[in-house]
Amino acid sequence: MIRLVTFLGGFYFFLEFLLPTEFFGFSFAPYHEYITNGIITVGVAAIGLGLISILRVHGTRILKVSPGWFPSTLLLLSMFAMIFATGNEAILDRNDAKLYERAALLREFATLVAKDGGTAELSAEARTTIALEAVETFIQELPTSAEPEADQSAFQELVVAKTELQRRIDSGSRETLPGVNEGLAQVATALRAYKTTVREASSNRKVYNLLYQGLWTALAAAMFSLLGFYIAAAAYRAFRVRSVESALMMGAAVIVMLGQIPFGVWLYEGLPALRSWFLSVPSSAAFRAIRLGAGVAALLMAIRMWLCLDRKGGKA
Amino acid sequence: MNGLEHATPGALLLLAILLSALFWPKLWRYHRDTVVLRRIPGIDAIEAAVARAAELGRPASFTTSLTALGPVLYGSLGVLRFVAQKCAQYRNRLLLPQSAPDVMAVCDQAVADSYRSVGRLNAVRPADTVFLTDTQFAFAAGYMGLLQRENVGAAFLFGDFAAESLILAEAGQAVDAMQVAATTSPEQVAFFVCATDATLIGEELFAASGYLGRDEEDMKALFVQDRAKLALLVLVIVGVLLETGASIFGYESGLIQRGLQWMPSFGGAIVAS
Amino acid sequence: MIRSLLRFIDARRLIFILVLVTLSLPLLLRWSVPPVRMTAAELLFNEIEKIPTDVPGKIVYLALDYGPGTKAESGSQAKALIEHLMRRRIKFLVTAQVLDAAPIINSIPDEVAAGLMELYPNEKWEYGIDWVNMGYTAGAGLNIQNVAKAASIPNFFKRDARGNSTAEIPLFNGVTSIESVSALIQITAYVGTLESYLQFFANEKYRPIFLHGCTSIATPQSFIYLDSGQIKGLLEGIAGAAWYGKLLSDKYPDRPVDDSVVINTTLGVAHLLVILLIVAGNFVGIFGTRASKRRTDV
Repeated sequence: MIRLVTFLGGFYFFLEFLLPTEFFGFSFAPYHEYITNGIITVGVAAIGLGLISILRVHGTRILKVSPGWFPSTLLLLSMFAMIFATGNEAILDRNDAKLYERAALLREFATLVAKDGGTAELSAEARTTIALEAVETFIQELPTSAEPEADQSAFQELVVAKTELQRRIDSGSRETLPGVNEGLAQVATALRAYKTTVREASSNRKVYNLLYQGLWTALAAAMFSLLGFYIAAAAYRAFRVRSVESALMMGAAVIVMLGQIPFGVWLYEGLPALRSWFLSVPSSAAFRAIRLGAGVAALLMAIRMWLCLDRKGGKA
Repeated sequence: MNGLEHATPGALLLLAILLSALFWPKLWRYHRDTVVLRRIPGIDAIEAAVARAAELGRPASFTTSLTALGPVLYGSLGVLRFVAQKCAQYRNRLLLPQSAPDVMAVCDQAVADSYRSVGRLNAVRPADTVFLTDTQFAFAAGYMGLLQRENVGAAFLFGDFAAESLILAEAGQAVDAMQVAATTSPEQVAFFVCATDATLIGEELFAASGYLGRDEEDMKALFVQDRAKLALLVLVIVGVLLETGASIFGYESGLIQRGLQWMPSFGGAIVAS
Repeated sequence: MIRSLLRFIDARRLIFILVLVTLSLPLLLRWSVPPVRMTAAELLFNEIEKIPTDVPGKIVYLALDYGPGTKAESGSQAKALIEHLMRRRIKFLVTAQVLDAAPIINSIPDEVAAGLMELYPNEKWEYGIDWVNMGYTAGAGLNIQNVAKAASIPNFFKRDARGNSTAEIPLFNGVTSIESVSALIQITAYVGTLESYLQFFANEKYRPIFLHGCTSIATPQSFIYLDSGQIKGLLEGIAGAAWYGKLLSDKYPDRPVDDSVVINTTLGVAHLLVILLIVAGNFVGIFGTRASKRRTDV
């Protein structure tokens, strides 16, 4: 069964690659997005396996109070804090987006009503009344008082936009619907600006910023910067002149390094050009050869995976 | 090159060579004994490293770092199976720090298969397969910590690597582990050469499992890929000759012009691969 | 105390201390030396200059595939490129196939726009009009393939990262398929992400111009694609970003000096240290071997 599914999956992509976009009137295009989205979903769902592994390894250590239980506790706490903060951000984003979307829908509705002549069942005036009522309901659902941490001027702008929209509704008729539409756009802009300040000042955003900007960014950058230290130590160890080849390697390394730093041109102006030559000629040639060899081997491995020719691979 | 090329003549030729040699090897005069495997010191070092870790009583570790599910991972699995079998035989622990949950499942299964093949399935320790994280430098930090805490005696780094490669290799250096690395990422080769005991470059990663296992399918694959590479080499030489000819006789010359019009379609094979 | 400290400082630790000092001093003193000319960055600059701004329904597809770890290199490149796009009023969408990048792609255009509006108070750069953030999308190559095949890019994404419907975003007026994308700019610190775009970001008739920014480590790899013409311009690590900044400053003289020049100078000093260490390593290697030989002879 596994082999059959693997073969069929591979066969689809093989045909998709092999056949032209239109093949006797048939095209993969309408199905391709669904199929690939399915594959992406399965791949993303696999993150659950990772979570289970983390919980199993570190949870066991904490429960058994084995050596290292304290760092494991910190790890799990950090993980849950990050999941909570990002999850909450996503929920708040979604809620805000719903409001903006309603404003957009109402604008669309108002535009349609303004264009539409009405039918026997529902006259144009009755439609206008429904549209205006819907806008009024929307206004009532907007914030009535400013959040204490939010930018008060942004709230005032929202109030102004709201009052203006209300005025346009009060004097509303089918002819003034475009004006209502414009008022809705102003409210949407003011609402977005206000909500942004509310979100910036929210405690959830502060926790998120602390975790992401304060800890994660700094720690990731620190890990990457370790490379600088290691490269220096590795260069000290590795670039020893023991043979003609190693002397050539060291010479090339020094030229490439000097060619890209501001001080290299103080020694010799042609160093940047020499560096470019090293990168685009000998280095590119070697890289291409490695990639070509690895590419062919990878292609063959892919075919073996697809056709389940590797008995051990099939099991795995 | 305008637009996306589907199956170009070059890609089709490459596929035809690969498939014909896989399914009809006699056409290519394949015989198991005729396949000569060049001795690669890096591959020899794999067994030496596992043995050294066992002698010292220190665990071994095997990571594919950020490698995603795909040919490179499957190429590395052959070595993982070999290392796992040896660890099972020597009654040594094998740590598997992981960065992708789906890859973790595949590696877990490969290790279990290997332990089973030497009759030691009950010695598999699920807790030794550790999912660290899927982000690059957090994974590197987790890996460093793991190697230090467990005082690893042999470390294997197989797969696709990016900027984290040197951090991982230096972590092994710091605990004086014997390290073998293999990568298809050419820019990381330089780091591995500096910081590990043995490095397999590019396609050697795929050859390693054939060399270690001498499995019929692996041997056939090595045979086939050599023929495909030969075809590509011929294509490269033809391209170079055509371009050289064009620079001497001009691009208008009939044969050269026709040849050069065909070449990009064949070049598409390289992009596709 | 001093003796135990000296015992602690072996060759490896001494190198680490030297690197720390070499990197910290120029950064603290904000020492800057003009960057060296990078021809690949100039190619990229010229390509951006060539993008027409008066054709409606055309956008640049900006893929920022890097995490916070490479903020110094990739972040400087992204800022310079976004600044150039904004100054030229080229509309762009920003996206990422790497999860780490999600918060970065949200904040970087905001920061650049705020900086520009501070510099030019009479001008305005607005989200949704000048740029839009489509967020992180899972699926790497598969997703890129889907974007490239989509009949309508706004319909494919449906919503931006902030939850707005793409139908409501003015930037997408007139934008249809990949043929609306005048250029793809991809900045990355991850292996394989550029290749995903090279393989899949095209349809059978059209392939946008590809422009790329990579970390210094990946420069040799990226040169292959520059040489073959698959990418038309390249920013090589911080040196590329610094030269790009210089090109921007030449064109827009009121532009303030950016951090990339200081970081580039610092990196230059660190490179000199590495060269010195190579010389020292060889010195120790040659004389150390001779000394030990002499001892053996005796």
